[in-house]
Amino acid sequence: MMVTTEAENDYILRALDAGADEYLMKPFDDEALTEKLAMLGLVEA
Amino acid sequence: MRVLIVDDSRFVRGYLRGLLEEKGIECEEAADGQAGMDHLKSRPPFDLALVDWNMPVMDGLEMLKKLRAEVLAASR
Repeated sequence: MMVTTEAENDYILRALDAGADEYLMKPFDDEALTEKLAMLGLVEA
Repeated sequence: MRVLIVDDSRFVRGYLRGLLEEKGIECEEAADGQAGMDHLKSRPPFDLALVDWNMPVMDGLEMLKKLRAEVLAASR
């Protein structure tokens, strides 16, 4: 999962194209991190 | 579950580690993409890598590309 301040769609697409399964934008909180982990099936939402 | 945190900011690594360890997730850290690649290979298995984009030595995008290339090469 890419975790970055880069928020533009172009960056997100490049990360996903390079093989990232998810994209989390900084700054983030526990709720946003948990949501992404749940989307990957790693924790319960 | 084991997670590798790859970020050149000690603050961000610590913040992520705190959030993840509260969930009972084991964490390891690397400070750039090259160190992250080395860590993934030398200390497997990991369930997830959290990768920053802008880092010295090797950025996160380059790390992802190299990882995917190696996985594809290994599957041939």
